[in-house]
Amino acid sequence: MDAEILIRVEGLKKSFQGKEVLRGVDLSIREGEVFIVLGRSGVGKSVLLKNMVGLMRPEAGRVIYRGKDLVRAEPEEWKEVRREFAVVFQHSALFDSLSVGENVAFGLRRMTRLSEEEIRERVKESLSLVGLEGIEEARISQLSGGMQKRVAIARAIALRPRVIFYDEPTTGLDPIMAATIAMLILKMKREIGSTSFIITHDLKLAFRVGTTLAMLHDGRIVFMGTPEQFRECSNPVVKKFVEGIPD
Amino acid sequence: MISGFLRELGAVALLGWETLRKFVKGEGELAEILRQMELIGVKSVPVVTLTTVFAGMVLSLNTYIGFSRFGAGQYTGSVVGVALAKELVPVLAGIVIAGRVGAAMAAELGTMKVTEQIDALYTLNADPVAFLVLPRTVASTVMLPVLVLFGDGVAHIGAYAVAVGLMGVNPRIYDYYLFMYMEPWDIAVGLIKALSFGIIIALVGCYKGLKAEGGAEGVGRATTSAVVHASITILIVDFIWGKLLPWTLRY
Repeated sequence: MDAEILIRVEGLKKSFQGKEVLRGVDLSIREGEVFIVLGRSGVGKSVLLKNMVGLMRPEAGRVIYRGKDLVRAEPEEWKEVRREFAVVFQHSALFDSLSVGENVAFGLRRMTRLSEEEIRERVKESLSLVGLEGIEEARISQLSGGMQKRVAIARAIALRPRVIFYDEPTTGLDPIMAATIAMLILKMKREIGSTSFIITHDLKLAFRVGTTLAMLHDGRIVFMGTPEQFRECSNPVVKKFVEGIPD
Repeated sequence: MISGFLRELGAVALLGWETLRKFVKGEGELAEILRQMELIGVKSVPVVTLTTVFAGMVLSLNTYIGFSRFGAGQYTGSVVGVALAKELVPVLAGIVIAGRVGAAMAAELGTMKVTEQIDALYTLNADPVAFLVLPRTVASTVMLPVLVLFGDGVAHIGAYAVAVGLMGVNPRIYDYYLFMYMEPWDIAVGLIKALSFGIIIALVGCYKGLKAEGGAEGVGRATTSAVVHASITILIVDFIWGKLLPWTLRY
């Protein structure tokens, strides 16, 4: 755990119509790790992710990425940061008016100076990394949920990002496809060297891929540590979550 | 309700301003603009044809009946020509296209919003206004006048067919009064109105879509209110054009 801290979140607060969802979240993500934020449904995990990638603006707090406070970053600075960030959305968020190949090439066309030939190669390579060779021409509506999730990962890795944010990557998938996605997350870390930030309530996924686990509860991080520490944690909130005890 | 409508009108105007700024900066993709022109323009031809031909026919029929009561049936062409070009064709085409195109824009962008595709655009450095709103607004602004000009022709054919073919007006007298009282300005006024209706339809449709929330139900709400708000705005703007612009009052 000696790697440099890549992202530091400090005192992040966000509320909706007077209801505080995040009440001061603090966490640090080190370069190269798979950082997992666990929490019950509706606890504000997606809100946390959206604040970190600039899709929402927090009322207070800082998100420091390589020394820069992203909360106060100008749109031009965000454009630079987004070359290094990629997001895999909960429902894949693929553009259904475009083909699979066009979806994967979308960011490459806007954020790089690669030639069309190089973009074609990169698309092919990215699809091959997620095990979906030769489907460039397919329409999004022709794909199953699991395939869509893999195309979304291919779109994210096409830019060779430094950080990949995953929003509930296994939600709605069968156990085998969920295991496949978990393996893909590890493969992306290995092949591309990206840091991964995952929000999920899927404990299996967390223990399978996570290097650091954090628990979000009542708008704050109530635990942060290794998967082993998480398993053995005596915090009643964590214990209840691990054992699946109802309220 | 009225304050809510006015507040939304303000928000749509701001979206229009942002779209204009991006247009001036040369953002937006030509291929997408052309694709939208085909969707908005070419694919609206059947519905515009049907609407305007029957509008022309029914207006011609009733004008002839009314005018005949005091022996002025031969003036049908003059009144019908001016009314169709300045009012009926632009307003009817505008409302029909608000139903077809404005609804489609709200539904498409609304679905993109609730399925996080708009968020995905942001994360891929693609500005939704430049990527989605601008091409639709440009295409709608260009294609509405074209459709109205086409609708003018179709409506006049319908009106002529009823007056001459059905009611027995002398064709030379119909043409004589039509060209005597109708001015190029009448057509120009209709086209200027159409241009503004094109902007309204696209901006209201896109705004409603981008603000959609709450899954399929939210998209349904956005679609309905896009059509209602665009139609009401078209009628208000039509009145403003009709009353405030000096050349629309020429007679």
